[in-house]
Amino acid sequence: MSLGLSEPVVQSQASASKVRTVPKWLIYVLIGAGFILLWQLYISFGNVSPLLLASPLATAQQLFTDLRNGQLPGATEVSLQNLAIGLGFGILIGLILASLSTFSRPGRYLLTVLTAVFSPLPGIAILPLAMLWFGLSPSAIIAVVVFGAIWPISANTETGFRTIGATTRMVALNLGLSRIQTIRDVFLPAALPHIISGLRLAWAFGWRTVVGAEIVFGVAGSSGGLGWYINNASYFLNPPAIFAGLVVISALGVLLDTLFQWIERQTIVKWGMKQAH
Amino acid sequence: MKKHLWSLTLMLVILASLVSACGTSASAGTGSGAPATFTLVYQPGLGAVTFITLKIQKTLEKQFPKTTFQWKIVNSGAAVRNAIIAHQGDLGTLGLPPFLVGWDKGMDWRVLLATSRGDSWLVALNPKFKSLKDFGPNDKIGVVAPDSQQAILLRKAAQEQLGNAHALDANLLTISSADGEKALLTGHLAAQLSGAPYQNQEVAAGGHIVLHSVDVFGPVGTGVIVIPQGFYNQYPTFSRHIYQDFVDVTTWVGEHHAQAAQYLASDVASAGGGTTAQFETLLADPSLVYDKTPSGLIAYATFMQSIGLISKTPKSLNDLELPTVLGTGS
Amino acid sequence: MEESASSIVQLSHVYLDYIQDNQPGATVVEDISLSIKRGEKFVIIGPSGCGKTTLIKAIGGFLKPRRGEVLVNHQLVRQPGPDRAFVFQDFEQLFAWRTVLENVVYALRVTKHLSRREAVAKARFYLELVEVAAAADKYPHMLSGGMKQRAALARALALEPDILLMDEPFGALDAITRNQLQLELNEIWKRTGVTIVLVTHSIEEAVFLGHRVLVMSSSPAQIREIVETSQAEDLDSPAFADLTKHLHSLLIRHKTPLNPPAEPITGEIKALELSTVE
Repeated sequence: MSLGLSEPVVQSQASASKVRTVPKWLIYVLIGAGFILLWQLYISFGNVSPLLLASPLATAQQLFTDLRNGQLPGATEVSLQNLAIGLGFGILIGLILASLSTFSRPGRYLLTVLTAVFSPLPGIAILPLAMLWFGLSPSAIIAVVVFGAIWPISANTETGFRTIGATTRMVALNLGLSRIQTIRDVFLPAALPHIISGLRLAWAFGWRTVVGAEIVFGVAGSSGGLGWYINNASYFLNPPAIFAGLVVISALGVLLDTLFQWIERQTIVKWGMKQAH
Repeated sequence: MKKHLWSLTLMLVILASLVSACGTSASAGTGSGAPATFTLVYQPGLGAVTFITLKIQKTLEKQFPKTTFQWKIVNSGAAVRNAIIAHQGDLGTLGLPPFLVGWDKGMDWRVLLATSRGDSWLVALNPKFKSLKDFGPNDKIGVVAPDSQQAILLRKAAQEQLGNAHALDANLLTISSADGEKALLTGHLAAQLSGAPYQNQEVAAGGHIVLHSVDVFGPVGTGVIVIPQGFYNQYPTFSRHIYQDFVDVTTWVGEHHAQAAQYLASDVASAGGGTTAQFETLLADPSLVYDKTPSGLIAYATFMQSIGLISKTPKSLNDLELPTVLGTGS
Repeated sequence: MEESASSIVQLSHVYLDYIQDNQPGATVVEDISLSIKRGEKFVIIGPSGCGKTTLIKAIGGFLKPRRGEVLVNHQLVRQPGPDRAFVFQDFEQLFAWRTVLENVVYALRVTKHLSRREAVAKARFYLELVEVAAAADKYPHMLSGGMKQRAALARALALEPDILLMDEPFGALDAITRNQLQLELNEIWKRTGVTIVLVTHSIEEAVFLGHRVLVMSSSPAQIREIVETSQAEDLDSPAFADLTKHLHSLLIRHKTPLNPPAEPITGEIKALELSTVE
C-alpha cells in the first residue's frame, strides 16, 4: 500500500537498460575489486619494498595459512570474546543508567553529568588506568570496552525512553502494568530503534577499542587477540600477516554490521518503526 | 566510446608512471664521498650514551661539514628496522633478534660494530619464584618487546629448564621497562626481564634475581650498530669514519664517566631521565662491557631458526658483518 | 447531585488544572459535578481546549483534581486501570511490535492473568465482535486508520471494563469510516451493555451515539448544559434534527443569531429523565 516512487518514470534511453540490471551488491564487489587491482598495481609498479607493504596475493596466502593453522581463528576468538563480554556488561550498565535516568530526577542529573564528562574519553585513553585497577590481564581490555559501550547505550536508550509518545505511556498505565512490566514489555520495544542505534555505536567503538587495546597491551603468546596478532607480525617483519589481520578485522566489521541490519529487519523494520537515519 | 577508451588509457599510464616514480630516492652524494644527509636512529636508555655524546660534541658535523646529520629516537628494534626499510634512517642500533629477523627477510643491512655486552636479569619480587618452574599460567613476565633479546632468551631458558621453548609464551607480557618496573613492584607482574637501570632499581627495592642472561647464551652482546651494505658500498670511506667515531667515543665514555653521565642526565628524551649521579653509578657497573666485536650472532640465529622465528641461519659471520668487523666475533 | 445505586461515575465539584512541565498551570475545568449511570452512553462535547479531554482523563485516573472528587463505583479514582479501558484518538495506541491479536492477548494476560490459550480465544472473540479478525496476524503499521481504531477498541473491550472511555476515537478518520464505526459502536454497546464515556467534537456523533450529551463551555470549562438525546437514534427523525440544531446553537456563536440564543446555564443541571437503558 506504499506510494514509493522507486524510479523516475522517464529515463534517458542510454541509461535505462543499464540502471535496472546491476544489483547493489555487485557494484560493491566491483568497487572492492577495483581497489584490490589498484593495490596490486601499486605493489607491482611502485617500487615498494615487500618488507613494508604486502601484495594482495601474499596477503591472501598468509590469510589462508594462518586460518588453517588456527592462529587467526584463535586470535579472532579472543578479540570477539573480549568484545562480547565487554559489550554485555556495558549494555547492562547502560540500560540500568538509562532506566534510572528515566524514572528519577536525581538519576537524570547524574546521567547527564556522567555522560558529559566521560563520553568524550576514548577507551584507549582509559587503558592505563584500567591496567592499574584490573591488572595486566584481559580484564583491563574488557573494562575499557565496557567503559566505551556504556555511554552510547545509555544516551541512546534514554533518548528512546524519553521520546516514547504520551499515548504509549498512557496505554501502559491503563493496563495497570508494574514498573518492571512497563520497562520490559513497553518501553524497551518502543525505544528499540534508538537502542539499536546505541548498540551499533557501542559495538563499533568496542571493536576498535579492543583491537587498539590489544596492540597497546601486548599480551604475548597464544592468548592475544587480533590486535596482538598484527603487532606481533610487525615485530617479526611479516607485512602479509599484518594485512591478513587487517582483512579479518575489516571483514568482521562488515559481518557484524550485516548482523545488525538483519536484526533491524527482523524487528523494527517489520514493525514499521524504522526511522530514517 | 573511442574517446573514453583513449582518455582512460592515458589516465592509467599516467597513474602507473606516477606510482613507480613514488619509489625511493637515495640521497645523492655530494661528490666528496659523503652523503648529503645522514640519519642515525637509536633507542632511549643507557646504551644511547655514545649517540648522545656524539650529538652533543658535534663530532660528526665537524668531520663532514657538508653533510646534514639527523638524530631520531624510536622505541623498539622493530621501529629502528622500519625506519631503515622506509629510508627514514641510514644507521640504526638495535638488539640481535630484530636485526636477524630483518636480515632473514632479505634486508641488506650488516653489522658495522657491536655496542656492548651485559647481563640481563630476570627479577621477581615474590620469594616463591626461585626458578622458571615456579611460574604458573597466570604469572606474567614483562619483556620490552616480543622480539627482544630478553624474549628470545627466556625461550631458550624455557627450552633448557622446562623442555619446551614455548612453555612460557603465554606468560610473556610486552611492557616498557619503566612501566614493567612499576608493575613488578606493585605486584601486577610476577617478574621482569629488562636491563639497567631498571633491574638494578628492582633489586634495590627488594627483588631477587631468578635468572642471569649470561647463564643462557653466555656473555653475549646486547646490541649492534648496523647500516645497509648498499650504503657502505656507496660511501666506504664515510662509513669507516663513522665506525671509528663510534669506537673512539666508546673509549672516551669509558674514561669520562662523570662527563658522560652529565650528558645522559641532560638529554632526557634519549636517556629516559635520571640524575648525573645515578648514571655515573650505572656507567661504572662492571657487568657492562663495551665491545665493538659482535658476539652472540650465531648463537641467537641458530636458536631462533630452531624455533621457527627465522627461516635460515648465516653460513658464516661474513654474511652478517661489514668489512669493519668482518670475520670477527661470534 | 444524584447519588443512586445505578450511578457508576460521580464527579463532585471537580477542579482540574493543566499540567505543564510537571507544574500545575491554569485551571482548565472549574467546579464540575455530574453523575453517569451504569450502562449509559455519556458524550462530552465542546470547543477545542475546553477541557473535555482533561475531564475524561480525570475519570480515567491520568490526572488528579486540584479540588473535588472523582468517584468510580463509589470509590475514589487514584490511578488508571483496566476497569476504565481507554481508547485514544491516536492511531499509534497499539503496540507496534505486536500483531493485532498479540496486542489483545497481551492485554488480557497482563490484566486477567489468563493462560495463553484462554487469552487467544477471548481475544479472537473480541476481534470478531469489532470485525477486525481478518487483520489478527498483521502488525499495526500495515493497517488503515479505521482498522487500527477497531483493533484498539477490541483491546479495550476485551478487558471487559466497567467503563469504556473514548477520547475522540474517530476524530482522525474520514467521514465514511467514521460513520461506519459509529454505527458499529452502537451495535457493540447493544451487545455488551458497557458504560461508555465518549469525547467528541462532532455534533452529529454526539446526538447519534449519546444518551446524554454534556455540552461544555470554554475554559475554564464548566457545564453549559446536559442535553438528553436518547430519543434521537434515528438519523431521519425530527428529534435528531432538533437536537442537532440545539447543540449547534449552544456550541457555535453566530454574528447574527439564527435562533434566539439559549440562556447560558452554569453549575446547574436541568432535570433529566433517561429512557430505559438496556
